[in-house]
Amino acid sequence: MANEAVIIELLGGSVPNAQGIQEVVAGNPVRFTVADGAGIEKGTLMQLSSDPRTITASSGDNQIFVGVLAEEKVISDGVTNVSVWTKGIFDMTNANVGAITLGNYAKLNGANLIDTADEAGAQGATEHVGMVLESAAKQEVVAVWINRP
Amino acid sequence: MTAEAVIIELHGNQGDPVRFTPAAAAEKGTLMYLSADPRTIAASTADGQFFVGVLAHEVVTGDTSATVYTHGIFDMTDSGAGITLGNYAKLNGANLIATADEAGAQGVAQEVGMVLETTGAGEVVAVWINKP
Repeated sequence: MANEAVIIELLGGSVPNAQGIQEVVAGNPVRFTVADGAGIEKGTLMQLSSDPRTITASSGDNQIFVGVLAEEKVISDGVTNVSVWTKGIFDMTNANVGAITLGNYAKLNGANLIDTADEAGAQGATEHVGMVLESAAKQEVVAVWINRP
Repeated sequence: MTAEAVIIELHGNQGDPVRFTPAAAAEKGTLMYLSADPRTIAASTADGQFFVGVLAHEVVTGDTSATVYTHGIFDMTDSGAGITLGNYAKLNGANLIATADEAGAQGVAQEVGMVLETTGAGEVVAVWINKP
């Protein structure tokens, strides 16, 4: 795969450690199920693909974005769950469809590619990747601020 | 400027602060919007702007970095028509909000947050934000 997202900043909340002191949990990682036979690069834009709570690499429009893969998934390594970052600012690649204007929401539209979100209604909103922080021409890399879900 | 937002509660990691480049001086508590490339924010002035957060400190002329709170509950001021509790608000003037009424994805991008109490015209009201 190509065009994996690159971390600019990991944002997020905090949790108490064993001593009761709040520690920052960078990127608010969330765990999902992944197929053992899948091989996926760190930084891949992941989509909710099937029951139960299972994700795969993004590949097209109309997919439900859940986050940026936080670790490499090696093919048939026996691992069946992985973490995705859900809160932060990442460099992502605009698809070869149209420009994106700063402030607009992006959606998935290809393998690790984004595009301007254009669906109406609440279920269109579930496809949102995040807010684009600078205007981007076709195929340009752009900073995107995510906070899923 | 007047009608700056006031903190009621900061959520997440101390309000989940995020840094941007400021376009100009602004008061602490100003409602900020994404105004220009690259990653530049300015004080809200009108409808149709993309809210990013509440300015966490005063910005003076010459500052090149500013932090906004993106997660919490803040007192904000209605712009004049009133808002019903549970509705989403949008920007509609300098530090002013109104009921979000745009359709579609980019209307959602303009949202400030959920209004937690019904407000009359020009009243101050608690708004729950969690950007983006």
